[in-house]
Amino acid sequence: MKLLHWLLPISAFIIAPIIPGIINRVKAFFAGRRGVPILQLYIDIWKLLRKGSTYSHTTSFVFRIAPSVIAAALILCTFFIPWGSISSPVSFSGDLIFIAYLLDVARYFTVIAAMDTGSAFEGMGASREVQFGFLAEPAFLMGILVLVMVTKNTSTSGIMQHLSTSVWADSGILLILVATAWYFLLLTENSRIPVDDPNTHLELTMIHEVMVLDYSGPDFAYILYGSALKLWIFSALIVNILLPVAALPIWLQPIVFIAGTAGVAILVGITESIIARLRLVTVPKIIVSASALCFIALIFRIIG
Amino acid sequence: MELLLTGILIVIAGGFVSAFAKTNRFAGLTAVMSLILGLGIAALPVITMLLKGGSYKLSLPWSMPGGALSFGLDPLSALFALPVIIISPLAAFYGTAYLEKEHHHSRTSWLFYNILVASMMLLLVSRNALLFLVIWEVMAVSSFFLVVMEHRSGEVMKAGWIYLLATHAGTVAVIFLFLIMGKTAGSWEFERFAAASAGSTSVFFLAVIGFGAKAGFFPMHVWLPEAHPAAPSHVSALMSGVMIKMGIYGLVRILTFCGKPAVFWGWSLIVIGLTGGILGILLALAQKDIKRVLAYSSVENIGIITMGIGAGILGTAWNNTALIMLGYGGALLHVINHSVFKSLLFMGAGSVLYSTDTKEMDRLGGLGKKMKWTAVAFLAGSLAISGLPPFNGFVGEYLLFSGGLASLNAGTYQSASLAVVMFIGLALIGGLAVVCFTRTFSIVFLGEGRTDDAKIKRRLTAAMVWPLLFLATLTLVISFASPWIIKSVFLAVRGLSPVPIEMNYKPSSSSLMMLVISGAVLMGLAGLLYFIRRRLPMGDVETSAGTWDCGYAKPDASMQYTSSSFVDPVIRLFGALADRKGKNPQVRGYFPASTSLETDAGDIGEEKLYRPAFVWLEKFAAPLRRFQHGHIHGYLIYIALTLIILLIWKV
Repeated sequence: MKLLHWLLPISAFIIAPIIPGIINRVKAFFAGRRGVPILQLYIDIWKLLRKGSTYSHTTSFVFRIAPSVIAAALILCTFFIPWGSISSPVSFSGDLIFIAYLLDVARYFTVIAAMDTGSAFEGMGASREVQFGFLAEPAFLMGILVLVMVTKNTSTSGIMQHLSTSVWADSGILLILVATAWYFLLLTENSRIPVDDPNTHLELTMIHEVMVLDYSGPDFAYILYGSALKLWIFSALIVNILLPVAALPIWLQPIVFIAGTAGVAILVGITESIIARLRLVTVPKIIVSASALCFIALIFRIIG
Repeated sequence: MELLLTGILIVIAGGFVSAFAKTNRFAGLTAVMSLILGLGIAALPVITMLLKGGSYKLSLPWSMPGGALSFGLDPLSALFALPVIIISPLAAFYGTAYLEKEHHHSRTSWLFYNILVASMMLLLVSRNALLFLVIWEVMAVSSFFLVVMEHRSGEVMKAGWIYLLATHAGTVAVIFLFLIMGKTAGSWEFERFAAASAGSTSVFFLAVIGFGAKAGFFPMHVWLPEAHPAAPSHVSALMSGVMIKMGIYGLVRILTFCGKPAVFWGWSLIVIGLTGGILGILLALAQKDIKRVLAYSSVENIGIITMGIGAGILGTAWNNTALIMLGYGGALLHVINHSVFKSLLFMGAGSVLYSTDTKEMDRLGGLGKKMKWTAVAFLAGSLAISGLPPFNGFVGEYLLFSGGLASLNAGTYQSASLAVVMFIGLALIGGLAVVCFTRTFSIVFLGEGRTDDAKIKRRLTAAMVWPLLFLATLTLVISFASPWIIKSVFLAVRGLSPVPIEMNYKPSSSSLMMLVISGAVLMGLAGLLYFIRRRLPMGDVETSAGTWDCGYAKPDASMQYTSSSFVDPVIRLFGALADRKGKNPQVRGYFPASTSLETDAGDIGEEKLYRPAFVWLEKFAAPLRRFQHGHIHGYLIYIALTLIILLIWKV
């Protein structure tokens, strides 16, 4: 039984890079293209890991250690994510708050590494990233609070285990509000349309991609892998909230869970295909509205 | 207790010896040695107290009417003494090197430094209102002399006067506070206060105003961004890291006399803390002077501490043990944490100022390559102050978040609202702190130097690097030792609660243990990944090139993002709260002539509150000026008149 829990993060490490592949496939489908192989990210990472790297003269130690720290923070996050009622190998009271701060650690190092290159473009990306980051923080933490109030549990695994059908019947609308808000966060934090375009080739408009422009070789592999894990973490949280995975028999749960994550990936692909990118000045409104959704959920919970 | 007083006497004696020393170097050394020796001796009873609990008392006669030299030590005093003991010698050690630059009068400054340190220690152990007031005043005056050490500059003197005014405005409230308490208790002894002033709202709010002025509660914070940049950096480290906490100490000490607090006291502190936290960090974002950024960030951190105390008060009012422990506990732990990383950051800023002669961030850049260890320490400090794991700042904030979660258990509207306010407040403050410190660190230490000012003019000595590295290690040590440190913190919290709390309260220790393990895993994992990365087949093959510039032919260091452009989008979102005034340049034509930009970040408290108030005050007070005419016989008549009136009144 103990081994089963440790299997969760390990399988997440293996599966995570498929998610960007699925998103790309969906986008290709909408655009009428065949698209890159679904396993393209594995190929990219493998290729990058065997390359040497190029560093700018301007960079210092920060630029060199950042990819390892970013990847480490996101790998550690994965250990706290349960799959339905199968709890994560480690959990403690308030570990969702810890996850929020680990994501901040990753952001912090991405930003200072970008600033380390002395490039105006990367500075621009960094400035946007911190702006959206601080706006996203309250939405994430308020969402946590709603989940804690609804399930009367304080650890991620405990929360997800207690999302039973009766909880759904009682406060399903709150869970939908939180999941919607967190879906906005998923789009923001993972540099997806309508906030950021992962495919853009114009440095002026990029956010996340522009911050890692100067990375190459194994460093870039770490960063790509970290981004895939981040996407996994957000999708897994949303799947846990939205699908009543915990109510299913235990052998079915992993299958439904993975299918659900794929579903989120497809949803992201569809969102990216049918929505145009927003102007940068309107992005804060999207994120603030995510906070507003969580706040509404909180008010409902406290009053109702 | 005697040991503690002996230690303090050694510190004072060391101060006097260094004032009469022949050379600056000898004066500095004497001061540092006396601090290490004196505080080392004082540390023994303090640490015993923190481990075992209990209380000591010592009372000596004093000729002051109503006063007595009553001293006492309990876990609460001991906890606040800890930062004094750790930070003062380190900052002094740093100061000896820092002052070698040009200060011919640095000898006398050590006298004031040691007196400031001694007065803080004495304040923590004094148990008599008159004694407390005298020491409080000694502390204010000695720190004033330290602030105006570089008094040749008009800016510095102005900062000094603002500080002196602000701190005395606070002292007035403290005097009234003690008058009320002393009158009801019929004694100046603290131990009599406890029974007499229970539940008095006026006492509580006088304490908030009086001690809040010292701690930097919003809107009484205006002296911080003036005094901290003006003072020499080791002094700002001591003042911002340690001295402003004496205000917090005063407030919680008064709380122990207040019995069961009212619910709205707690809410008032939460509101004060929240405003201070958010506005403090916002105003920090608007600054371009690195030391002003740090000063405003102290306002923010005091805000976090105040929120914690507010939560603790609410916990007491609602009989929620977990909330008492986590609210007060988070606040007190943050007191220690903040003293460590804030003094580290101030000394880091001092090193930048020392070696480049400027603290204007937009003129700097790329210092990380020239002063590597300072940069490493500053990075650790800025991660810690942003509340990121595995550094100590996170532990304090985690306790406060847990306090919010604990308050949910009560199941009332108010307790749920407390959780919501704590979560939103801490999330916003934490998010903005990340913006603020990614910016401060990266603009100063990363990239390329923006102007010639970023060239190193003076090399740092080892004495200016080691204290920083020591404190950087301490941020990690405190974090990893938190499951044990928290026991001492809870010991102090127990003294704050009017109802006894059972000794075996430890639900949060296991979570803290998990945090410690996770933090260690995070560091180990990062190290492992870096190791693997170097061991990859081509992992050590490196080429060096310029930064990718989009094909632009002539990239220049001045094209980098600056401290103002980095935060511009954030500042814009908040509009008038962090207003920047300035002249925007007009750029016309295809080949615009050279132009200039001027911006100035105002302080909302100063502009919207104090300036109108003082303008009004001046208008009101101007007619009174004719009484102060400068003729000595006139003043003699005033004295005679006053005496006659007093005599008539008495008869």
